[in-house]
Order: sequence, then C-alpha cells, then structure tokens
Amino acid sequence: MRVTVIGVGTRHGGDAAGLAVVTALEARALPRSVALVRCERPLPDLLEALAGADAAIVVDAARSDHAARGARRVAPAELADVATTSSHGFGVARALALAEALGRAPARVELVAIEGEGDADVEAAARIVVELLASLTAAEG
Amino acid sequence: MAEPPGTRSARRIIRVGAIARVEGEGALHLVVESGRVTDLRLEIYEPPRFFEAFARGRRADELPDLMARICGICPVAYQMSAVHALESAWGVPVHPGVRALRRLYYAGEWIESHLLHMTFLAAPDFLGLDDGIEIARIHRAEVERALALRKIGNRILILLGGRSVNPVGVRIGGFHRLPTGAELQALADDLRRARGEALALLRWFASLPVPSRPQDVELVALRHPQEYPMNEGRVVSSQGLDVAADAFEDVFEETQVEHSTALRCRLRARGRYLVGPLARVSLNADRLSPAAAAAREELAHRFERPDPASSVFARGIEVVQAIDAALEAIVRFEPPSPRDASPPVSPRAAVGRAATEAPRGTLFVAVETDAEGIVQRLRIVPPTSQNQGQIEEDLRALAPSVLGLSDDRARRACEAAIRDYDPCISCATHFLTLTVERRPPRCA
Amino acid sequence: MHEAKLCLSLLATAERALAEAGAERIAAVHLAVGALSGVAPEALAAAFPICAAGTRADGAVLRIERMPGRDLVLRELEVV
Repeated sequence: MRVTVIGVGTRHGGDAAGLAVVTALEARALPRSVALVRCERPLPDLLEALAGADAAIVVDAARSDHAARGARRVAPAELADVATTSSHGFGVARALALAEALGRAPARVELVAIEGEGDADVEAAARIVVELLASLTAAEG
Repeated sequence: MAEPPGTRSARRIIRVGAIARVEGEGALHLVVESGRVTDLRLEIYEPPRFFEAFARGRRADELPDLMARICGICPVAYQMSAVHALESAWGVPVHPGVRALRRLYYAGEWIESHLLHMTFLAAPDFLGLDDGIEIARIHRAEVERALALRKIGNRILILLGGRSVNPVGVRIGGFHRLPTGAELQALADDLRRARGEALALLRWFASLPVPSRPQDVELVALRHPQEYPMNEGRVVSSQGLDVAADAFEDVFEETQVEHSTALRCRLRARGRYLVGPLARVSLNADRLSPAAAAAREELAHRFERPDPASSVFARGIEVVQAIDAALEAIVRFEPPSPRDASPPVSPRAAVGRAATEAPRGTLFVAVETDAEGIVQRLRIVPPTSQNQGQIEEDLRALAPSVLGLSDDRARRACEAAIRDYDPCISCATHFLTLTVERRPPRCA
Repeated sequence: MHEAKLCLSLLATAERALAEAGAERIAAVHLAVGALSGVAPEALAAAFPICAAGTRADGAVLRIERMPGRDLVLRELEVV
C-alpha cells in the first residue's frame, strides 16, 4: 500500500509545525512504500501530493483552543468547522474537497492536527503518524 | 461642565461587548426610495494602504520582501513595482537578460492569477454554482486543464522567486539566484505544450453563458513600443492620454471618499476609468502574440465596447499571451551572468516612480529614500482603488435589476459583477455585505 | 492580512461608544480574540497603532485576551 504523508505549513512562524513533522519522520526508518512530502500551498501542492497514493496522512498546524498542546487526529467533519487562516481562501479543507471532486483523493485520507509549536508537539504528531501507518498496513493484511 | 484646573479627568470603563465580523471585506449600501436606487455606496478594503505606513523607516532593500506580502496572489507585481521605482531613484542599471527574466516572472504571475480567477471565481458565477469545488465535479477535464496550466505559472514563480509563497528571489538590480539553462529549456518545452491547452480552455469559456454589460468608461493601461505591456511602458488611455509613468501623480489624483476608508483614484481631467486585462487587451491589441491575437479575433464581438463581463475573455487571451511572452523571454535573450544579475547598488536621497501591470491592472508605486537608503515615503496605488469608481458606477446601473430579488440573490448578483474586476477581496466566496435602506417616499 | 480592516471597524465601533458615553478620548481598548476566529493577535497588535493614529484612540493601549470560539469581541474601553 502506497501511503503519502503530507506535512502542510510555511517555513516561518508557528505554521511550520507540519513541515517539522516531515523532518522528524525523515529521521525514522519508514518502509519504502511511504512517501514524505512537504506542502507549502494547499493549492496546488496538496493536490499534487495526493496523486498516486492509496492512502494519505495530512499533517497541519491547527488551533482548537489556545491552551491545547500536542497532536491529535481530526475527523473530516471537524475540518469544515475550522476557520481558514489561509491567505487566499484555499486552505487544506478546500484543497481536500477539490481533490475529492476531481477524483484525485486516495480512498483513505487521515488528518493529524498539531496544536502547539514545540519539539514535544512535533514528536507527538510524528508518533500518531507512525501509529496510523502501522494500522494502515495492518488493515491491508 | 468645565473641569477645575489641576483636576485629572476620571478614567472610566465602558462595557461594549460588540462582536466584529471577520468575513466581508466589501460593503455595499443601497438607498431605495419608491422602488428606485437613489444612493449607492461601495467600500472595498485594501491592504496596500497599511504597507505604506509599515515601510517608513525601513531599509529599501527590505521592500521587495515586504511588498510581496501585500497580496498572496499577486506578490510579483507589488514586489517588482517597488524594485523598479528604487532602480529609477538610484540609477541602477538593469541588464537586458535580467529584464527578460523579469518578463518571464510577470508572465508566471499572470498565468497563475488569471487562471485562479477564471476557474474558481468567474466560471462558478457563469454556471450558477456556489464555488470551484462544484465546478470540479461537473467539469473535471476543464478544471484539470486549468490546474495544469496554473502549475506552470507556479513553477516560474518558484524558479525566479525561490518559492511561490512570499517569493524572495528578487533583489534591486536582479535576482538572487539565476535559473540554469536546463531549467529554462524544460520550462520552454512545457510552455509550448501549454499554449494549445490555454486556447482550448478559452474556447470552453467562450461556450459558457457569459453575460454582457457594456458601458462607457475610459480605459487606461501601459503601452510599450514593441511589447505587450507587463513591467514597462507609458500610461495611455482610450481618450488620448499618453504620459510617462513618472507623470502618474500629475495626471491622477487620489481622494478620500466620505463613506469609505479607502482612497479613490481618478483622472484629474475626466474622473472615472478602468484598468485591468480588458483595458490592456483593448489598448494593446496590436502587441498580442499571433496566437493571442487570433484568439482575440475569434472573440472580437466581446470587445467592441468596454464590457466588464468580457474581462474573463481578456484574462484568457492574456494567459495565451503570457505563455508566448514567457517563451520569448527564454528563447530570445541571453541569460545574464551572476554579475549581471547583481549590479552595484548605491542608495541615494531620491524619489523613484514606476508603473507595472499587475494581473488586476496598472499598479503605481512611488518611493522616496534618504542617502542611507531608508524609506522616507512610500505610495502605492493599487489597481483595485483605481477601479472603485467604475465598479460603483457599474453597480449603480445594475442595482435596479437586483431590487426585486431575494437578499441572498441580490448579494450574489452584486458580487458576481464586482468579481469581473477581480478585486483583491474576491478570494472569499461571499465577501460582500449588502445593506439596503428603504426610505419611505417623501411627501410632495 | 485583514487584521487592519478589523482594527478599522473595531475603532469605528469604539468611537460610537465613546460618543454615547460623552467622553473625550480612548485610553485603552480591551479585545477578546477567539481561537477559531482566524485572527492573528500579533497582526492585530501591529496594525492597531497605525489605524488609531490621528483618531480619538491615538496612543491607546491595546489589551488582547484569548478565548475559545470563533468570535472577535470588543469587550470594553477605558475612556477619559
């Protein structure tokens, strides 16, 4: 099963967390069927990154509460509720919806949100990704 | 009641609890009396104003980076206008190879910006759909085509700007990094293939039910002796205006409109005017590449009178033109050497002015620096502020036809009309707050 | 970059409240920014002094409180 892990973010400020997770994962020995991609612009980068994968894990910085830390999985329904902070209206949620409309989204898309900007938060997100990868390959049987 | 001298006024706390609306960058207010629109006020918020204040006291070499952040969709035009103005102020020579790369850079931005607008903002309006996601479902092939074309524009921005979000590759006098010959050749191959795709996409748009709203308005754009204008030229108009970009402030003036926080730009002599792709195509039809000119010929009936609704076709033609301009830049010019692209730069106490064509229209920048190169004054006249008077006039003509519609449909109709001008705010699907004040009829 | 526009509309609301209270100028503005509002408090803080310059809130202190939810609320004003 080809899985693409996509870290979304920009290189400066608290929005770099998604990219940092990709860096953290690069240091681990992941199976060759797993691709790691950095995405700085949901449109077009996210659309590109989703191509050719059987499953995708999208990691992005998000805020549900100022006090929240760490990382967690996000259900697709929750995405619709988050106000986009993208500078031109095409955030991750819309890019994913567009990918789906174009038939480019893989059968399975998992979302991981990192809340907080520290190394511990990035590590927490990386751990969740690794768990997801394990469960995806296990499901494959 | 006067305070006795020496008494300090008491501070007090007022509880307000007002919730500010975060969406809605545009506001339209209509006054209706006896079924007629008697007053109309449009306000479009513009970010560039605040950058004028931020820039004061900063080093001029910070301007390219700062200006790129004004607009997420058109960073190149803002960034480059400031660079051209500084080069003019400080007498920095620009190598022909650098000049060619800059046209390539502009072409990349036009391609990205126009295609984003056409596909996700204009097409949904023509098809009565809510947004680009729905369009992708129903017209997948065309959206894929548009996205593939957009990708080429994006590649150009990354190649020359370092990245497409807040591009940093530009410096006064040139670029920080030059593309390799191999990179340019690969790009040229893709551009040649892209031309046919761009023409096909334009033909699809021509098959859509695009409305028509011809009106009388003076068209303004840059004009150049040989090229289709992007970053150089004189300022001309459909009513005979023809001045150097340096004379912009003599010919145009900005005034504060009472009901708006934005400044409105008007021609001192005649008032309202229109900048943008429609104006450019109309005033520079003889400068289009053969393919773009042929495309325009096929759509000649849409350009007989100025018609904001025809802007989508002007954008489509400009995508073809940009592809050809990009190809020309790569094929016809010697790439500059690193030294050519990094000429010596010495600040001067001086004022520099420049006008370039952002995707949305003519953008004018004036910058004043001191002898150390610190910005004393920055003036930015964005295309949207120049179009506000015309947008308002357009809505004035449209307003009677929306009065009978539901609030939601009236707002959408006004938004669609405003979107033809591709103002900076139209990124959000619903950016307009429409208020209608119905006044009782006055007694005779 | 819509924080500046938000400042303008908040200041307009503040000036109306100021007039209703019959006071002269605004010394402090207390805002509450929702975590899901999409508003960056730092950008708001940067834009505020520029927007307030020349108005009755010129030189006013801006206090930003963070809260859950999607709203942006002008909580209270300190006026003179």
